[in-house]
Parts: sequence; C-alpha cells; structure tokens
Amino acid sequence: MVDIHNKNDGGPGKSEPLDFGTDDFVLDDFFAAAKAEAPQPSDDLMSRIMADADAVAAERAAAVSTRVRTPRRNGLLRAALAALGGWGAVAALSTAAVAGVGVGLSSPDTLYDLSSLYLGTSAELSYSIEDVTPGYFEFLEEG
Amino acid sequence: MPLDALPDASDEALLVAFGNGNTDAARVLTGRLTPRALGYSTRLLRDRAEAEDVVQEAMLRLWKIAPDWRQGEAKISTWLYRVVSNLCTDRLRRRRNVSIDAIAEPEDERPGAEEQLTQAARMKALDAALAQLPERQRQAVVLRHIEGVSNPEIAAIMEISTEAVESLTARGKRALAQALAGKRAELGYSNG
Repeated sequence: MVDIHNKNDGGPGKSEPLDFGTDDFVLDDFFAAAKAEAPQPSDDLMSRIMADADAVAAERAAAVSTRVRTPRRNGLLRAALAALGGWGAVAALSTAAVAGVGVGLSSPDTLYDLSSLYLGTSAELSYSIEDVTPGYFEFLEEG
Repeated sequence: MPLDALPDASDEALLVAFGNGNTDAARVLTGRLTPRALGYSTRLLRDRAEAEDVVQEAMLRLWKIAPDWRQGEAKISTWLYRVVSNLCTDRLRRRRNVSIDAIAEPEDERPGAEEQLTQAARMKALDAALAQLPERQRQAVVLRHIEGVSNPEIAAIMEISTEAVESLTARGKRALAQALAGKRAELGYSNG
C-alpha cells in the first residue's frame, strides 16, 4: 500500500490526507507517469512510414519527368520545324509559296510586262491588277 | 540541403526539402514527429495497432502535401496533431457502430493486491480514466498534460478558442480526478 499523506507535505510534522478531486499534484503524478511510459514507435512502423515517403517521392519524380517528356510526342513535327528554322521561317516559306502560286496563275505576258517594268527595259509599260489576277474585273461585274 | 544540416533544420525546412525530392529530410522528420503522433493516437485509441495505422496514414498525408506546404501558415506539428485527431475520431465513431462484444477487453488495469503503485500502474489507471472522458475533453487533456502542447497550439489543433481549451482541460481534469478517486483502493492508495 502506498501512503500518500506525505506527498502533500506542507512542512515537517504536517500530514494531511489528499483529495483526489482537488489536488492537482496527484493528477500531475499520473501525467508524469504517462509521459515516462510514452509508447515508442517500432522499427516496423518507422520503415512503413519511410517506405511511404520513398514511394511518394518516386511518384512525384516520375510525374515531373512525364511532364518534361510530353512535348516529345510531336517529335517529328518539332524536328521539321527546327530544321526549317522555327515558326518564323515557316511563315516566310508559306508566303513565298502563295506568291509562287500567284505567279503560276498569271499569264506569261503578264510576267513579261512585270519583269520589263522591273528591269526598266520598257518605260512605256505598266501593269494593272488584271495582269496579276486574270478575270478580276469580270468577277467584280458578276458580283 | 546538405546532409549534416538536416538535424538542425526546422520541420518546415525539412518538409520543403522533401517536397524537392530529398528523402533524407523525410527520414529526419519521421524521427521527430512519429513518437509524438504515436503517443497521442495511442492515448486516444488505446489500441497500439490502430494507433500505428493512424500515424502512418497521417504521415502519408504529410508527404503528399509537402510540395504545396505554405511556409509560415501553420506549424507542422499542429497540422499533424489535427490530422491524427480527425483520424482517431473517425475510428472511434466506427467503433461505436460495432457491437461492444466485438471490441477486445483491455488488459486488466488493476494492479494486484501486492503490487506497488508503479509508474506503469499509474499510467494504466490514467488511461482507463481518460477513456471515460468525452472525446474533446480527452483530446485537450492529453495534448495539454501529456504531450505538453501549449493552449494556443491546442486551440489551433482543435480549431476552437483558447478559452474553450481551458474550459475543456479544466472539466477533463475534474472528471479524471473523480474517476481516480473512485479507484483509490484498487490503486493501492491508503487514505487513513
């Protein structure tokens, strides 16, 4: 049996019964016991927690590498673009191609007029929109 | 973060380092946080296996939110205690829905007639008395008086005011004292 009288020692010779209902220090005794007996994590628990951490880190690393690799899905298109010099070069090439189609549609006479004018071989020559877009005026008349 | 700096780094710095892929930082954090979380969950659940599962789940959630952790908003220990509280509450609710016969009786908490009132016996008596408290009172008392958490931090964990924490712990302690007083003889105290 444990005699708790002396726990509430107010001085030599004093010994009063403790009241479990009001004496904080008795409870503190129990709290101290609980702190001293705090459960310690097992190695197994620590390993499980670290395995989770490793898995989450690996999953995150995989997600990051997938995000980096995603543009490679259009690898052929990107390689062609890079070979041509990027989107700017493609735009210039497209313009040239459209101009080429326009030139192709024009009649040889028109081409002669244009080149003569440009080279200055005939000062009287001039050209109108009809020269480079045959049928332009007919189109306007027909609506 | 260099390896030798890890032990001195704050919890937040370690979590950020883990978010950036440093698993050594996770190892240090695990060593720091797991014992506290396990102590708390064990007191609430009184079942070691369940308490371990709760801690593992809470730590897994911590690993997952690492990249999104906003520094300076909350302490990691506060966040972890809150998650552990919620997970324990869920389990306790589920238990209530299970037949009382399905729950294993805890080990005999009464010390033998000749047994002295050792620390272990006191702890068991306290555990039994804690189990009688309403859940919120039990959380507040365990955090304050066993885990040693400050009242403002408990208020943050339980998402209540500091005054409400003080009220919960005061009522909890009164109830504990009464429960332990009723077991005076069983605990081997003499009062004469």
